[in-house]
Amino acid sequence: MATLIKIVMETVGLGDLMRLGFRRVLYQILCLVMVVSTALMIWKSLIVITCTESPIVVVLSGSMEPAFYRGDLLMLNNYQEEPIRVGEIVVFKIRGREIPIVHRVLRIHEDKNGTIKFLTKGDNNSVDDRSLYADGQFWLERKDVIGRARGFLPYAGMVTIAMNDYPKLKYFMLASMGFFVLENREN
Amino acid sequence: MSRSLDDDVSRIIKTNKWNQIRVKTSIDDAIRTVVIDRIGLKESYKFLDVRLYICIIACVVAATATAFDYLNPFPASKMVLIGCCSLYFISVAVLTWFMTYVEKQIFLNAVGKDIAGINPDNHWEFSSNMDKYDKSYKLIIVKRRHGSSSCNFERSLTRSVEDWIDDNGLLLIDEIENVIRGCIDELLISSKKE
Repeated sequence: MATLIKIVMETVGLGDLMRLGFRRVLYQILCLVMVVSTALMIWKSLIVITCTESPIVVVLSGSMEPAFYRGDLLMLNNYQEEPIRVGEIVVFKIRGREIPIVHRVLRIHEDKNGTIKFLTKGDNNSVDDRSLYADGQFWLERKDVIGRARGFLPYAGMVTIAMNDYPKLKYFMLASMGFFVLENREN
Repeated sequence: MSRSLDDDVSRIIKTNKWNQIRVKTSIDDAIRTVVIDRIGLKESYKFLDVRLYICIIACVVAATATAFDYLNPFPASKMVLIGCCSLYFISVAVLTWFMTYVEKQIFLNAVGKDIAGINPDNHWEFSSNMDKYDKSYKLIIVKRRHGSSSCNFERSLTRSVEDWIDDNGLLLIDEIENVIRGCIDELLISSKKE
């Protein structure tokens, strides 16, 4: 039985793993976990540096054309000390909806104590965003904003859109990366 | 020594002879097989254990940051994220430093116990190198006496990979064993003369 397993592993191309021993196999697994962890920690670091829970977002619709097109990658930050101005492009979340929206600030009202309420509209939309807001909500507040657009990469987000539209593609890419790391150990 | 079924399988290690990294790794594995299984030295996992501990620490830190951020979304998790991210990248830097400057190209640490039990243990280090696009495999064997950092004996040799791998990509374990045994015997004799 042990010989059969060895022959099968040699045939599949994982014969090297059989000769490694428990410690080295564990190290290979940890290397794979660390590849994922490094990407995760870089993401968390970006969250801390930019002060926003989503430092990078992908434009999913054409409501901001010609400024941004579907598939563009946006870099955000959300420094609280910087005031929101008319004309700025903000990313905000509506109560009850998971997907954030990227639109431009159209109008701002500011109270004496500094609290602001603002209205947004997509450049490519004919009306403002009041129809998108929650029931009874006519203005957005500072707490609804998850970030302000500070830069963009055209078309860089098309891979994300493809993986969202076809989840099997995402699992296939992850499995391929994992197999590649295990096969090319230590080098 | 009688050959077991494992030895027969190891005699037919096959590698992709056109991939330099696979060739080097396969020869390293073959030397490990010879030293541990045939010559009888005991493998020392000190370097691998250090790497494992650092990797485990890094993974635990990453998992902690992820779990805390999931339970307390940003900005409540800001300070924990700062601490965990810093600790994670410090761990990765320490691991890289350890692998580059301490472990270098050593692929095997082994310990040889004195049969009579009188003399201290001998520590063996096997390191290898292959330059890019070069078919020469350079092996360095260092013998250290336990507890003595100054009492080292070193033997290096360079072989073409075609000496140890045939046209079909099969490793010639017997040839490798002959060379390694010769080197180890030379080092033992040199150390006794000193």
